[in-house]
Amino acid sequence: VSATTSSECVATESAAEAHGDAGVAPAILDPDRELVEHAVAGDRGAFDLLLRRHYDRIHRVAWRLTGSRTEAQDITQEVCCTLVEKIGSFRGEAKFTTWLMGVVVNASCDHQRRWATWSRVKDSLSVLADLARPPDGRDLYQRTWLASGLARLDPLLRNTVVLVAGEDMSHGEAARALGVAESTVSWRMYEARKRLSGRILMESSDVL
Amino acid sequence: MSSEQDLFVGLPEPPSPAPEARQAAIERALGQFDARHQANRQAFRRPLRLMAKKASSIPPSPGRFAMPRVRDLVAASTVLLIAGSVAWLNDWSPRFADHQVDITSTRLAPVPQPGTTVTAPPPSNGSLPLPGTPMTVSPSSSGSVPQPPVGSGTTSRSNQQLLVEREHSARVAQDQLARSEPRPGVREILPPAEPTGRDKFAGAQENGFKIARETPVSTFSIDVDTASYSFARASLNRNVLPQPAAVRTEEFINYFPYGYAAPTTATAPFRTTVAVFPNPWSQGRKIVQIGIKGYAVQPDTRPRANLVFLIDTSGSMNAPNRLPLVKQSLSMLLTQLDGNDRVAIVTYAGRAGTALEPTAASDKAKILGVIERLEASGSTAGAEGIRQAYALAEQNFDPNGVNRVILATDGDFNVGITDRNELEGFIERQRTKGIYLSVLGFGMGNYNDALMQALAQNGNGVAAYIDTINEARKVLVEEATSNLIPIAKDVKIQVEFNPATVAEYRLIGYETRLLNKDDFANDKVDASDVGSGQTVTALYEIVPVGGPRATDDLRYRPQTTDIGGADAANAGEYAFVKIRYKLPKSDVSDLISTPVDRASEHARFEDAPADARFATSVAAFGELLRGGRHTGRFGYDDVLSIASAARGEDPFGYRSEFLQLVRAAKTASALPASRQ
Repeated sequence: VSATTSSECVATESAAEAHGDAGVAPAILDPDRELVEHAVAGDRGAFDLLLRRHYDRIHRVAWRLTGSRTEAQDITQEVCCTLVEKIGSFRGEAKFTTWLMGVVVNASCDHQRRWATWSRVKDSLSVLADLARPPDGRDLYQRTWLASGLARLDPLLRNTVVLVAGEDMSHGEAARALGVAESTVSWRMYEARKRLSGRILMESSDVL
Repeated sequence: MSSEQDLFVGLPEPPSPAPEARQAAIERALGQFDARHQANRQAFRRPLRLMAKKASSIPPSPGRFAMPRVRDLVAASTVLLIAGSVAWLNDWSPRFADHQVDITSTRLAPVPQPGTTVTAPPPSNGSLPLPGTPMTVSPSSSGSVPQPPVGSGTTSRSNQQLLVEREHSARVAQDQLARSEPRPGVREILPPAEPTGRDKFAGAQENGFKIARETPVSTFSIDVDTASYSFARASLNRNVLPQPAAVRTEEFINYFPYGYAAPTTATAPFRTTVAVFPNPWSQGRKIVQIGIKGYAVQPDTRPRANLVFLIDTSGSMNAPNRLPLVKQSLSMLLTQLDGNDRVAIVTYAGRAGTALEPTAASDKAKILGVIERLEASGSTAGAEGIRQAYALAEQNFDPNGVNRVILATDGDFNVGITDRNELEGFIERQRTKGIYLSVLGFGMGNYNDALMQALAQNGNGVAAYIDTINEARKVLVEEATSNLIPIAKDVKIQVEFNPATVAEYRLIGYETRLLNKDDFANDKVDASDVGSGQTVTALYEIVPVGGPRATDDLRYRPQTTDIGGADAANAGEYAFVKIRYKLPKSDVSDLISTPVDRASEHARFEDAPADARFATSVAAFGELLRGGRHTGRFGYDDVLSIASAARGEDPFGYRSEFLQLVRAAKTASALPASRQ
């Protein structure tokens, strides 16, 4: 699982870079266009406004990808910080939000991969050192996430579903954000729907 | 996007982000934004940045080529060292360490982050440079000057979190558990959140039919426990049939309150209600219902309570349906206590400790504070905890009050006195001093029902299994007085059947409570307690003389025409019920008796009192769950139709819930037995 996830992430990254390098700027109606231009030019107010405008969206996607409030918070913060650098590579071949979603998915992958190693060591150390409290089961949101189909999808399908179904992106936009072909997105959506509709029967033995 | 709508419906609604987190993130990003643009404006470069740039642009020479290799190796082995020891500490499988090496050597991530190297032990040989740290930081700052690596969000969080936001990190740790679910690769590494299939029950075979002519007397100890019912409910709510050994039919029946007529004085604390009616699952047989209602102590005259909570805080309690539920339950019970009552809390995990010295129950803030701070970790030193709890109870012993240790646990005592007999003996000795024990069971998967049951029985207490907050409310609020204040101890029931009218009889349930005939009058033989206002119901299935018998007459035994000592006056009676009990302070038993005569007989099942019909349906349900050896073709649907007709007023909704459970059992029994 982790191998495919990382390759997806790498692909996304390169896709984002590629968009940046292409340098073509077709006229796309993008409400964020002006703000982005100002932010790239170093306008602090524009950057601030841009972050505030998209914070909730980033958080929503990050949460749907991970199911954890803490992690969604961390990822959102990471994305905000990386935007400082990354925004310069946005060339506007897609809508800003489309591009942004690619960055979020990428950051979530990174985050989860890192989680698998270091943050778990760190957290368990802090539990050992009695600094952190063990879980007390109050995160109801997490329960709804775990109960939903998302938790049962594997990460690639989940990324796609969150963007297409959750963010109402077209297959083309999602493909651009994820750095894959449009047909891949369509196939993944088909696959996800198939799995979700059959999940009670098929996966009951697998889950839990 | 209408084609995606069906998927969208299934997407969970995310929580709204915390405003302070949003503010923090934006401020942080803006800080970096400022730094970057400031730097651009002043064309400011730091030496570190230059070095990093230069180092990476020089083509590797053979000499330099070796360096990073060595460094990586050192970094990898350090990581292994740390991870290995941590993994060992946390009892993780070695697969975890493998992951680490993988990631380090392929350099997918900037592995040793600054924040995490803090936690590492210092390298054993001081001559080695601190591995990894300078190198992994500098290349990652590929942009401009003081920009921290991408991981800095995590790093800074770790520092704040560890020191400041304890609640926050609680969620992180919980996320760990939860996140293990969707990712099969990681799942095996973490211990499962809920152990399954390790619940222990001492199952007993259902009572069979006895021939009234040969053994006319049936004797058993009363049972007011309800643990079995709530355990079965917890199981059925997961759509799994409870294991037959987990079902004790009498506890199912006694789970429900029944509106029997109450006794009027505390000196004769029991009143018996009897009814005879046709057996719904067996043509020609009858059911004898014996309902006993205990005297209800008035709230204003209730004795003082000296309670010691003994709380299991071992690592296994670390699940939403365990320690958090314990905390909520105790907070609820606290509302039922007042300034005359004393509360103390002892925890046990690894080692036992007193969390709260005996405190007046009116000091709610202090008690709630202690309850809130309870944490789960370590293994279970149950026996030591029990000793400490009893010591506290003894310290505050109130000869006129209720002295009770209340044990809240999910199961085994795996450290300390593991000899069960020794433990039971200890509890029994304490009981003679006047300190009783009640057991509240939590969680599912490793619940040791048999041990809990035995402990509660030896401690003259109640064993209740708490699976939901509603159950906690029932046990600790609505039935607080009955569970805390005993009105009689060593309560035994003896039923003598009249061979002139009854050919065979079968006691439904109470298999673990059967006593010998001569135990009944023997005051040395221990039996259960009954609390204030409690009701106890026993059902017998009887075959009237001439009815369809389970066993035929013996060929080589003379058929006695003489039918016992039944004289004309009581020849028509079915049975005679005797209750023997001791008042809480007394060592000598008293007797209350009631005949089961023709006057209490109902010709049609529908005419029987609603309570009796409901109890019968619950009994049938219990018997069905145990395999239905005696219930013939009676099924869940029949249980449903009887129970729904006899639901009555049902102010707390217990009976309605029962109907749901029967439906759940019907569904679960149709599924293949795939999962525990």
